[in-house]
Amino acid sequence: MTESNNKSALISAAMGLAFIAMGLLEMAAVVIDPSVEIMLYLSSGGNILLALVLLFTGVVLLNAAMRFRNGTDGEAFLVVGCMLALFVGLVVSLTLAASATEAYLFGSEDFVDWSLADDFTPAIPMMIPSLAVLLSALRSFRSTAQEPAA
Amino acid sequence: MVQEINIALIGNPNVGKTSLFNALTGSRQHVGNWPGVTVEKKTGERRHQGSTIKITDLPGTYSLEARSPDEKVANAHIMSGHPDVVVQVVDSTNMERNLYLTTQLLDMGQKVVLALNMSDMADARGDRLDLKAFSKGWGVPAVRISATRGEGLEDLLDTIISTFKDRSVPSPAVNFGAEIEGNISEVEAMLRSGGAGGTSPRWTAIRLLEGIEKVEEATADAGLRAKLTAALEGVDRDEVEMDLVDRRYVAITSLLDRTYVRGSEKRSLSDAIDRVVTHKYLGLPIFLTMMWGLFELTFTAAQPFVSAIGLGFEWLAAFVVENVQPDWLASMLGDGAIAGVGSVLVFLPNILVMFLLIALLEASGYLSRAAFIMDRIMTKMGLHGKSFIPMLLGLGCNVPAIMATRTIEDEKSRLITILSAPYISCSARLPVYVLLAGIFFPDNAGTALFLLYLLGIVVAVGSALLFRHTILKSETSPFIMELPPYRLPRLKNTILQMWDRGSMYLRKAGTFILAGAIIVWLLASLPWGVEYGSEESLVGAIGHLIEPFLAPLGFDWRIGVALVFGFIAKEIVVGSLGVLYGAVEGAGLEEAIALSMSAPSAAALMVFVLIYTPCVAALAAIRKETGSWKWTLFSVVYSLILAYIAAFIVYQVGLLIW
Repeated sequence: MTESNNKSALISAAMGLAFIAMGLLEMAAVVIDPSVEIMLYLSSGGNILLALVLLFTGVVLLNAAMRFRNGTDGEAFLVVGCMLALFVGLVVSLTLAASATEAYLFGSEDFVDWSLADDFTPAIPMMIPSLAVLLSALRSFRSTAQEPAA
Repeated sequence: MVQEINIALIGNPNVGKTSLFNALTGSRQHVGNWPGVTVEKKTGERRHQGSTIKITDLPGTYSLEARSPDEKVANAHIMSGHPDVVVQVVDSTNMERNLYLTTQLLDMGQKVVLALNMSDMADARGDRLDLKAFSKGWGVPAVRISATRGEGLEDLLDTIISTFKDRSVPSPAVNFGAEIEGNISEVEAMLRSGGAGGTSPRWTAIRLLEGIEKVEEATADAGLRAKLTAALEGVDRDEVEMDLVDRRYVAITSLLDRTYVRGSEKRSLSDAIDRVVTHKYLGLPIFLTMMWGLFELTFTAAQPFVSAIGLGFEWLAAFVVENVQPDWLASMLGDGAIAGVGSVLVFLPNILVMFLLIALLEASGYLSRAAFIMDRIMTKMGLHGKSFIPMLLGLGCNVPAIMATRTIEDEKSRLITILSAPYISCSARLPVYVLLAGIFFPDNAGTALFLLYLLGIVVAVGSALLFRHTILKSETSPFIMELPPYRLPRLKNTILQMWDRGSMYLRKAGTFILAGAIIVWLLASLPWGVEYGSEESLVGAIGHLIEPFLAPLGFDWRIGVALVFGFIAKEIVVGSLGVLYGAVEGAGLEEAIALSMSAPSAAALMVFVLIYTPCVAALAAIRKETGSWKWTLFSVVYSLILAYIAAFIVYQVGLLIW
């Protein structure tokens, strides 16, 4: 395994494990009371589908790590894994922004007790490393058109 | 002198014909990065150099063999002799396959102009084309264009006019060899002498030799039929067909070898992404993840706008009730029009968010992958692979979904898809889900939406499977699907597409839904003197008539009335609930519904609305596409029975859970 592949495998594995952990916490929040202090900051209140999506993103990233080790198609899985991570982060961020608007701008009845912690999940800050890794992975895919033979 | 030139836009699926049509005519026809978006011809015009160019956009087709209904439309239009010039839109990044159709157009004797679209992408790949030599090769003028960027359009229009003025007769691009050419000439001469063969006896002769067209279809003259049958006797049609295909590709390769050099890519990002998103095991979860995000955002991201519009309508209704006289007019406007239309319009942000996200997925090329993944599953279950594309279109509206079944060649498979497509949840049903999920499942409303849409897909696929194995037994046919490259969606096109679909909802609000709301208000007010919306009113009488049938589902008489009016358009369900539940004194619509309904009955209602009879417009489309009242009636009865059973199960199970 080359040094570059080794580094990519490590990054993929770290990100994958982080998403698996987030997914398990979100899943735990479904069964355990989501208002428990630790749950409040690490899950969005127990959304089972979000939990599954986080777990699945982790699986794709771990798959990338394994493929980097085997030397087959790791970049493709890393790119898609990062895209999924960004997609999940974007969905959660927009949900949080919409709830904040309801609570602070319209003062909606359903959002009287709402706080940022209610909709915050670590998937939001994870968008930053995901974007950085994605941009770096995409560099290796840049089209390099060769001069055609006349 | 002002002259009129009729042109037809033709080309393989997903090469940008509709983008070019829109760019030339200023229209806003639906453009999608997947095959099968155009299933019927569309017309528009453009003035250029004092000429009026009338443009017909034809459905995408790989060849002119006319096997499916949409290909037949393209073939019949060209054969009608109507177009003065045929503009073939070619995907510059996939020349070899696209030029197959060109060889057929030249066999038909058409004046052809090649619009080499996506030339910017070919340039980016490093492709090199000697345009002059390429045009000279088959005597077909070619112009490099980029329809989405509007580049090369003036050149294209100039070329169309000069080709129209050119008096020379186009010659075939391919010589099929002495033996086959001899056969073609013999049959062509017979057709000409008998006045048969339409506008292109050579093309008819080729089709007869290939066995695609039957002698009986070519002429009604018994003498000529006998001659043709004798001439075709002993010809191995399959061998001729294969030989013709080979010769066409030899001619294409020869032209491209002389004039074109394909660039190369180090590695294709598009292919790499496809290896994951179409992966045997990961493809489906990725599709479900995208759908989850779509419906989560449809509910949550739109909510602040929904609240703002809701507040606006509440203020308007209060203003009307306080300031308008006489009382009956204030009631009609406040309780009828504003409550009815307002309760529907309030969900416009949800509809727009959903259409925006679908447009983004479609323009990026992802929906083609979704169709590919579902096709694999559906084919395994014995269903026709092409069925899922019309079903995906049904997310917007079921009418274009039903029309899109024209891409399916096999009649039984087409009928199965027509009958099952309406179970894909269209945008008209979304307000019901958003309203009820928001009231009864506020913490998991996005999840509820996602599950309902998923249930729609399951019911559609399940029904298709049931039809195929019972009343419409047939074999499945293989389906080769081309995956278009991923493209970065263009913001302007995406917003326009969202608005085009969203404005349809607005137009319905101002027409059908307004009329429905006023009718419900009138029925709720008659006979004069009864308490508005009470059980003694006409609407109460209608509701009580249906109530015994709906009681096992947990529905009261008001819901029964709303469902009856939902036959016209599904949006009217919410409009009617707005009028009828708005009548509950001292409570807003949401509070009134929360007081009158339970979570199990709300879940049952959402499932019932998802499955029960298609709206009037969808039924008209079913009637038109099947040509049969029997199948239209079947669609109504089957869906009503299925909806009843499903809602009953949901309600009864719900009672045990909640």
